[in-house]
Amino acid sequence: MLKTSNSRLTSSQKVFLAELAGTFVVVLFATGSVVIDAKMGWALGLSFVAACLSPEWR
Amino acid sequence: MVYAFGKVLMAHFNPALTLGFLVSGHIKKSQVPVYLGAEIANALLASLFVMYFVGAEANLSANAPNYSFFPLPVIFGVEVLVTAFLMAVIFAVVYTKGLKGLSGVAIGGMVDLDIFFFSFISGASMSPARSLAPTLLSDAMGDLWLY
Repeated sequence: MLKTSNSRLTSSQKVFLAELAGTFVVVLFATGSVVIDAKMGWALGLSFVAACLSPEWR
Repeated sequence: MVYAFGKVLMAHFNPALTLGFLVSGHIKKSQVPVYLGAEIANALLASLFVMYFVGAEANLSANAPNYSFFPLPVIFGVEVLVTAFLMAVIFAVVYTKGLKGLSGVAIGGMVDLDIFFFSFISGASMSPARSLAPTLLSDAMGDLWLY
């Protein structure tokens, strides 16, 4: 019987990969929302920025 | 993101939180470079993505303190406060039994409140990585030290 492992990644590698993905998404939404708002002449406002960012944390 | 990655790594996504978790003994010193490296590298990648695929308006969203209405000590204090609020909420949900399921809602809510009430004063970055990346790419380094 072959022994199977749940994961071939070490815990440091998991941390690194998860932190990479998470920071990318958070910074993408945090900065992208402001840039989109600026492109639209600040018509969307803070609500848009907050709404874009907080679902990423949830 | 908190729900997706919280079990793997406590979901920092923020160098300020990484240092907070180091001070509180949640992570080892040897893990700090891994966290910081990942956070800063991918904050830069995310800002590059925004620059090429969304646009470079508003200095790529580099944080800008409101010097017109607030003196520097107030701005500095507010930035410390918003980051402390975020850290406090994270500790509260981590340490309070029964609240772990609400961690994403609580943390997201705190981020919302920080943005609504404090972004017009200091920019409410809450994250040095989020400030560093757009600042470096848009060459607006003047206020980076604040974050």
